[in-house]
Amino acid sequence: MIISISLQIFGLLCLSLAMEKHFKATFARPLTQQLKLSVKVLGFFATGLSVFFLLLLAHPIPISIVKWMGFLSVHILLISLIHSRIALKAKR
Amino acid sequence: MNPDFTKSMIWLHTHSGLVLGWLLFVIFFTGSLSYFNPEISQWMKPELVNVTSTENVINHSLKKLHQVTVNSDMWRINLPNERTQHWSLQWRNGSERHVLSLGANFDQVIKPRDTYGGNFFRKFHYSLQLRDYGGRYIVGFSAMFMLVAVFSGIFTHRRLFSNFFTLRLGKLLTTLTDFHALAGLITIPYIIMVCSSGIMIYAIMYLPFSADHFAGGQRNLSRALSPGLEVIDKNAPSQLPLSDFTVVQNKIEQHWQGQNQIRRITFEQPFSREGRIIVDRVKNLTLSKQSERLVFSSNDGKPLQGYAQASNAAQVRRIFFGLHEAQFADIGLRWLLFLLGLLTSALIASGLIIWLNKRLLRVKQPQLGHFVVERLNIAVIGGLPLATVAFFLSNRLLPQLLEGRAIMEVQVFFLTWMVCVLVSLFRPAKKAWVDLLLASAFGCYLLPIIDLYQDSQRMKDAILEVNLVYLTFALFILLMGFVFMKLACWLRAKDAA
Amino acid sequence: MTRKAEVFFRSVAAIVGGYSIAAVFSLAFVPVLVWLQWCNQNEAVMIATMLSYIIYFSVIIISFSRESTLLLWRDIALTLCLGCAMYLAMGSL
Repeated sequence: MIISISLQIFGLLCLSLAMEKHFKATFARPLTQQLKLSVKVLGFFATGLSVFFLLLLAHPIPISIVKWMGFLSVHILLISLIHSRIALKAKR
Repeated sequence: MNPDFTKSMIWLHTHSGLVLGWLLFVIFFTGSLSYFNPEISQWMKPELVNVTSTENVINHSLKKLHQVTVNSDMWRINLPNERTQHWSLQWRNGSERHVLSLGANFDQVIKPRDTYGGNFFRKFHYSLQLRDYGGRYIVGFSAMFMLVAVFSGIFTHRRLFSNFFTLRLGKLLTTLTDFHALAGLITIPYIIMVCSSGIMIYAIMYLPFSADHFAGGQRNLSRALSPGLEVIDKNAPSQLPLSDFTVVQNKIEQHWQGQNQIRRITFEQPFSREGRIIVDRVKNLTLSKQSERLVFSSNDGKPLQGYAQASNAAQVRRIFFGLHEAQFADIGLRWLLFLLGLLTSALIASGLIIWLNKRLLRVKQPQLGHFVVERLNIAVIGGLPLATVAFFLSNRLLPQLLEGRAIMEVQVFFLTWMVCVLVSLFRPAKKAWVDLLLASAFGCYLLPIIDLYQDSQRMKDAILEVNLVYLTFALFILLMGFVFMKLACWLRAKDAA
Repeated sequence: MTRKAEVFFRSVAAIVGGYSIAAVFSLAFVPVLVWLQWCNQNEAVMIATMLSYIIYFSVIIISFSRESTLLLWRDIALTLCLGCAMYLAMGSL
């Protein structure tokens, strides 16, 4: 479960960084097309792997799926908060 | 009315949210608290002591039941767990019901104070204290409204999908709007799950026509879909029930692997030769509301024919029921669901506040509608947490042996809420917000202090026994107090600026 | 039609019309399920009732997004008639 959850947040982080706005604010340089593609692929791969581990290791599966969905929501909120913080600092 | 689908959805979102928003806020807030129903009950009955580690609980219970009951129709043993810490025996003679709570040592009988505990929130959540006046219909209707509001909300806040992971901090209204959209987006699966499963619990009750026509009523339908056990012959010769549970225990262990798998033991007609024992398994292994059950004879502990398999439709409904109540959740998942519930409450609250502020910016002279919305926002969103805190406070402050104590606590809850309505009516809006938030914060801080002052032994015991439920409650209340205070200070600073 | 009247008629269509269509559906779909031999009658009652909430939800959304209120009410009436006809036809099978 822990592996799956950490892969999930890593994947979401990659996906969020694949967006130009957030990448620019975080690393202060523009996102090249190639980098964007690779980060995106990495993000989807990690999320997919997270689902794979969930189905493979977690038990019982229905409850784990509920857990996975719950963490998905919380992680998106967390990442949004981090990005908004970074954006606010960059503005100042 | 609008040629454009998106535009009509925006209209629908604004109005469906506004009409029932306050009711939905109340339902979601109390519903989130209900996730911790046993924990809140445990905190509200501090007389309960740590009994989870008691050895041989079942045989002690049987001994006690043999001592105190004669010829009962039903025995029930509710085994304690970390969440409840409540070891109780129930028995019934005819229509006469008795309950007995036991302490850590055998023969120690506990009398917890008279309170509804967390069950108050659960009942309020699904019936609004109006069970006989159609409260459950109102709640079901609002659940439908919530689904409509979420669906139309997707079209209203479409901008967010292109700006995923974005929350513009800074101006109050933009931050709130972004928060509203983001919270709405991430709680979509949760809201759909909770609302649809909530409707499904009473699916047949809300639309009884089909069941009445084809199956002869709701009861008959559920009986046909999930058949019970055979009726016990009342005239069967009598025989004493077993007093050593080990026989049955050994058989149960063959079926259910793992430690502490039993949640509840029910004896039906224990003093009859036909009597039987129904053993319910703990609920954390299945999404379904109904955990596994085993049936034994109450005289010699021989396995009997168990429950017949419920039909698929009934099982689907049980899963909806189980998903809604989340009895399966371990402590981590429980907190997660609780947070999502609070987030949904915050979503509704922010939606209502945005509606008002956007319109107040536009109009020069506020109209009656704006006034009503503003006051309701303050009274409901600011008042409900305060009323909850007052409910907890009254649990500690009301004398323990008061007649009708449980009802008084509920009255304190509603009286406080009434006071909040008055405050919202007679104070300027910003000041009323600050007042209510500060009062909530003050109440939150007061709660652990009163608890310590009344009986410091409780806290010591909780620390020594590592009673996480008790400690977490105190910490969480303090945290909430801090949050309320911060919010109040922030609002006040905004006011001055 | 004034805007207020329109909103009123649409709300009635959504709440009452939707509820009636859901009720008729929960009655009419049971014989269909039984006829298709997917499940026995009791189970069909449960399934039809559960599915009727989806119908209710769609009717609400359609009620507020159709362009013309008149056409909306015509469709609701037609659907109700269709449901009743289906129920009667399947019942006589």
